[in-house]
Amino acid sequence: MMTWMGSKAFNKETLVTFALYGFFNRVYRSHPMPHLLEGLKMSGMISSSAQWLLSAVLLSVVTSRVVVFWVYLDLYYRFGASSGYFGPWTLGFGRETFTRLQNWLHFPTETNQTGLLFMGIGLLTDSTLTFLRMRFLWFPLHPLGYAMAGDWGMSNL
Amino acid sequence: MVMLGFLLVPQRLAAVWWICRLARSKSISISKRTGIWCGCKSDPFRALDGQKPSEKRCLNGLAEKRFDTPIGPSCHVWVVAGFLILLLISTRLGMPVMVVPIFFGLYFLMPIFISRVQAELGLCVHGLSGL
Repeated sequence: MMTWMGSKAFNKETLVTFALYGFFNRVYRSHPMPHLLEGLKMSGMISSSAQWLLSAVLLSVVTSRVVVFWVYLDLYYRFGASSGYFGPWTLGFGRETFTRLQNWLHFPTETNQTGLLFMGIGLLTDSTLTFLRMRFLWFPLHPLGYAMAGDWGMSNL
Repeated sequence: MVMLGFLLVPQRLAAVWWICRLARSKSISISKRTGIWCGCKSDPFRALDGQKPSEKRCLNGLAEKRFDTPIGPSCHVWVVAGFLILLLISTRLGMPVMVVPIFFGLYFLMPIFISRVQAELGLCVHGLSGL
């Protein structure tokens, strides 16, 4: 949305909300929904109750949220958050989120024309690949491959 | 919708509460045999279009068996309720009402995309179901 409209198009409250939503919107490699779908699929295969699985997942969401906040606060107060015990994996995500918010607020941006152009090229390319994939059985290139090629996970393969 | 068809999931994943409204919508054509949106048949099925009726029946039977996930009537309520909760939280935080559907609309494309990846290329569970 920042590429599309720029940070100038949003008020401060909206930008703060975007920053607060960064915890589920930063990257998508740990998205819970596909894993939950796999769990439901497996429970269906062994004729288990999907409702009980969903209840267990919701219970774990509530419990783990409390536990993780408690552990973080306890360790931070015991050792000090800036003591060197904690690296970028514990402190860096918050710093990244709110540094980005600071940039949005202090240096407002406009529509990124170049970014939009490349997004259009990507959409056109993937639409073409989808069309070819649906029409020709022999076509080897999957549209998802193009979309995933620039992903961080792919670079580690 | 045609261009974004590759992002959308097969029909059997349509039981997910926030997809079910799309899946049950009469305005969107879905191929029951292939799960591909917009009613396009995949090539294996199109290639068999000229085959004997018995083979067609067999093929249709197998395809129907794949889509056995029930879609509960309460999922519509969950779609509306879930969106209202998100709308309430976001507007209380200061986000304009018009921005909320755009933000979450774009966001929910991502899980659909990832689910499609995982359904097609992911864990072996889907592969095992065909054995």
